[in-house]
Amino acid sequence: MIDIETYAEQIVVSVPSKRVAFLIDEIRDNMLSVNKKTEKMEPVLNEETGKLPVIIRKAMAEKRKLECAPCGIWEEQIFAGCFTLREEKLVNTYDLPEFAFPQEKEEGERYGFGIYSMFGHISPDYNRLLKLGTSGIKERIDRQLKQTENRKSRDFMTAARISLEGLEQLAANHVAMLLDKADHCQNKERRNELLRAAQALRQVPKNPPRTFFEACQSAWLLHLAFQLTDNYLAVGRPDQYLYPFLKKDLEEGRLSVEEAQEITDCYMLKFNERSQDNETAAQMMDLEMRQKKFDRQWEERKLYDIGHQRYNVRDTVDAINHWNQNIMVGGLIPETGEDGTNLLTVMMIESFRRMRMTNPVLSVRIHKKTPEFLKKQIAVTLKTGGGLPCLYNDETVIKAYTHFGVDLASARDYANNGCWECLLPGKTDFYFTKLNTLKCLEWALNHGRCHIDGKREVPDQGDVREIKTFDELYQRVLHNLQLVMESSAQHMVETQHLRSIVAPVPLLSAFLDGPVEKGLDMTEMGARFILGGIIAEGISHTIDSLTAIKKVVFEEAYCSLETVEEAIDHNFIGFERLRSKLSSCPKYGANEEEADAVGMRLTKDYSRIMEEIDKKYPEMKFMPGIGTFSWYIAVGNGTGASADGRLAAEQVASNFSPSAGAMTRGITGALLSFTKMNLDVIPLGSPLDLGMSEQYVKGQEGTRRLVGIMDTFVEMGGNLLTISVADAHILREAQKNPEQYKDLRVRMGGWSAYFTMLSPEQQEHHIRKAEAGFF
Amino acid sequence: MEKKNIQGTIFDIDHFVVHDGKGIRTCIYVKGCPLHCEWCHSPESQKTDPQILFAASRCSLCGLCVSECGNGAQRIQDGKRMFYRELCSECTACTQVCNQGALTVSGKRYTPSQVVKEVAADKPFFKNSGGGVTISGGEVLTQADFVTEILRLLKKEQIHTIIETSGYGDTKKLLKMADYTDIFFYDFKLGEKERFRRYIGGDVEVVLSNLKQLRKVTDHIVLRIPIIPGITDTPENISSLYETACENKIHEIHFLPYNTSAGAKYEWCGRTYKLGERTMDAERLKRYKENAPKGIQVFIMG
Repeated sequence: MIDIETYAEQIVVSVPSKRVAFLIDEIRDNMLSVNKKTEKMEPVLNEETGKLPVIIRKAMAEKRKLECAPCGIWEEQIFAGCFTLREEKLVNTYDLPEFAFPQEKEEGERYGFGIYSMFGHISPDYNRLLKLGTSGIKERIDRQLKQTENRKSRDFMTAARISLEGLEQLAANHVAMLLDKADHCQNKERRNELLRAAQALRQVPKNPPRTFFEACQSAWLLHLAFQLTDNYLAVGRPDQYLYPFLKKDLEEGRLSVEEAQEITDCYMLKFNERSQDNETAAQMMDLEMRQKKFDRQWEERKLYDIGHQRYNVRDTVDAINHWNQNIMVGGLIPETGEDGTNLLTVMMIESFRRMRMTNPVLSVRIHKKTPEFLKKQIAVTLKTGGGLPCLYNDETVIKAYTHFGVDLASARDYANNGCWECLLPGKTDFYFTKLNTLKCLEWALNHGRCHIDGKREVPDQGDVREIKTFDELYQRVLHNLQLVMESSAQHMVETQHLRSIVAPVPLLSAFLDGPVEKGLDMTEMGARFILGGIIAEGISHTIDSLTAIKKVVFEEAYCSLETVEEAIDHNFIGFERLRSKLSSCPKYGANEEEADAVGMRLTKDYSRIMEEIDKKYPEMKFMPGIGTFSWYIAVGNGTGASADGRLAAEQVASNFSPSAGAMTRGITGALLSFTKMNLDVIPLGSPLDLGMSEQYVKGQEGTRRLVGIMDTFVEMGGNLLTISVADAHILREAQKNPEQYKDLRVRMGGWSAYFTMLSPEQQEHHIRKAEAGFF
Repeated sequence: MEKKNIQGTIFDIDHFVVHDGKGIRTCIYVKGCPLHCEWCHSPESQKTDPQILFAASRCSLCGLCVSECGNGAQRIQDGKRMFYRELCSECTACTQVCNQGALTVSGKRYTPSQVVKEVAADKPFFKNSGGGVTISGGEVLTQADFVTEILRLLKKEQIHTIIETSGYGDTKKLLKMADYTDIFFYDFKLGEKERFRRYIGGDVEVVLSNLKQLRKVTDHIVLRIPIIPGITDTPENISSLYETACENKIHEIHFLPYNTSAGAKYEWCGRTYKLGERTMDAERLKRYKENAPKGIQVFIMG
């Protein structure tokens, strides 16, 4: 066996194989091509099937979709099954054939669910696929069917069976396609590759794979099947579940290390085959309709989706190449608590470095025992830009999970969902709502009203003049926090099971721990672990605003709180002096005691409220997180001016990053503040997004500095960290000459995007940040 | 022994600096310098006392400073912001109302323990990256007691220390610093007496003799030369540099390439930058590096 450490060190200077280099170019080229969409399918719903329960009709729709999906393999690619067929210039859609009655749709609509309400952010159980195969799962279903007379259970089991048959048919169709292509193939080598893929798909996903190649093909086909049926799912910990197959192949001499790296590269590249240029993709979308929908959402915003801020189609177009394809590598082994780094961990990170693409969204778990060579490899990869891999600290996340009552072994197996929230892969049903903390302060000062459009959003807590101490104000804010959190939790508990009215998910349920065992679809609360998340937005500004008020109003008595509110109401016009005063107060992110004390208090109380709510509802597990994802512009757009000097509708800082200009003690100060924020009771996570220009990380010394940051992040108790390496002048150059910067990527709060494809607002956001040198 | 009542003026504490030593470092910049290098890229470091900087490009013409200033030093005339420094009493009231960061004060009084408290917070980063604290200026020797006390406190915290100095100051005080300094970055700017006086202002003999004295008490000296095209990068000066290194048995030299943005801050101080645009000959630098005497390692920084 090859020594991993040596391999990790040598690959950094290696280059992709000819095949991989070719595929990278193909993917970039394909982004610009306008493809036809697959044709609409015949409805599943008819007089006959109308008598069946919706879950079975949904399964039939999934099956039909998988049966009808065109099959393909890209030239030179070794894995079959694609969302976008390159040669045919054809793109699959996520549409399903009609399966629901209008009255079912109406009823679902009443609770906010449509036929495509599958939320996506879930990580299916790939171990189940690789250990049992569809035939093994079907056997398990058949055993259950024999044991239960419960109608609902039987319907679900039947449905799951139908969906699995669809997946098997998808594989069979690919075998036929591959054999046909092999027949017409002149090149003997290529012919053998096509035959190898055909042979693999005869074995998998029906049965457990025999080789690393088959394991990858099986995992890929399942991922594709999900994407085709509107399930935008994360990928979990592939370096853990695929490695045993690689290990066996290497030990038994079936594969060389070079071949293994190429297989890994090809697998990782598959996630990019559907990437599209934003403009090209936007041409294919009805943006006007979407904007109207967003405007209506804003008009009709409710307490539990108050975080649904002023979305704009800009957000949709910017996110075009984000399909929640998260991959988590590294980290502890659940059973033993030992480090799980293996050769595939190294190979996957290397694939990501080589291809310089935005998918899959790569994250690495690190901890006190993470080997030095892996940290170096991460550092070298980070230097290629785009803010990936994202770093997760096992020490803190696992502690937070156990704090919320999850057993240690399960907690050690955490991965992420479609964005960055931590969840337990293979067993979690996940949903989240958002909590704009800055609004909680806005309401406390403004009779429960929004400053942007004056709408009353929560009950009036009384006039601002009635607030005599900082504590009274703080309690008002907490009260509002609690109000939204209670309302969100209650909403989730009351409606989660109603997803089953129009959006049951039999295929996904077959690949989760819980549904088959309990005889309940995931949407009927069948998963082992049902997680309701609340994500607090704008929290850095809330900390800064509270700190500023505390200091200026209650300590220095510079002005009254009423005056501050008046200034906010006027968006500081005519109050410029006060604005200077407020914005010069200590801020979160500079290791300043005053601001950090407020932050520590707020994060602690936030987690405590969540814990209390969690105890109230045995049906679900409620956990807190802090962040904005890529919606830092939208969150700000719906929020009035704030007492930290931020103007009305101005964007907020991303995730749990300090506000712009607050990092007066640099990257170290930001990390020191961040790690004080009770992160060990925030299990979903709260990313700190840092950036630095290339000069800070150049050369071996730069690698050493990045490793130093990682070690300190682990040691001090950070949870999630992204480090983007970007130079403002390069971003400016890229704006001017986009064609020369096709692989330039930037971090978008939850994923990465190609810089040159972003909206002007987002581009400016990134340039402004990068201009600070570190940010 | 804690030294009471020492205070000093610092114009910046920079966290995560990369050009002043290994690992993750925090750099303390003390204010005040007896020299006036024409190429100095921190002109605000030369005056010992706090001073007001004005970055006109950041001004939004909001006029707050105009009404704040009791001396009429801040004005808007013909839609343009004017700062009449000769009327300014340095009361800094204008800087407190400026929202845009156009008016700021450079220089803040600290006690050594206040400084150490801020920089020692970064200790885990130092430990994990092989970094530490670098003290630079201005010229550290203008506030030698203050700097020495900071160094002493840092060593008590077991933090790695680097001193960056022009060597222009009191010999005894310099040698005292060596007790708590791991590495000296010692400037060699110009070796020739007349040119030193002309471009830098002062007597080069002070620098060279201090170097000799310092070498007696420490092995850890790096010579650093700012590469100013046409001024310090002449073959004669480089030979002189190498000679000095050999004489003093110094084995490491850093070339600091010309900072092209050096001029920016002169305007903020109400001064003009005399040196103007200069282009550096990278090839020439490489040649110098290759021709270094045996036993001397040359690094081109930046």
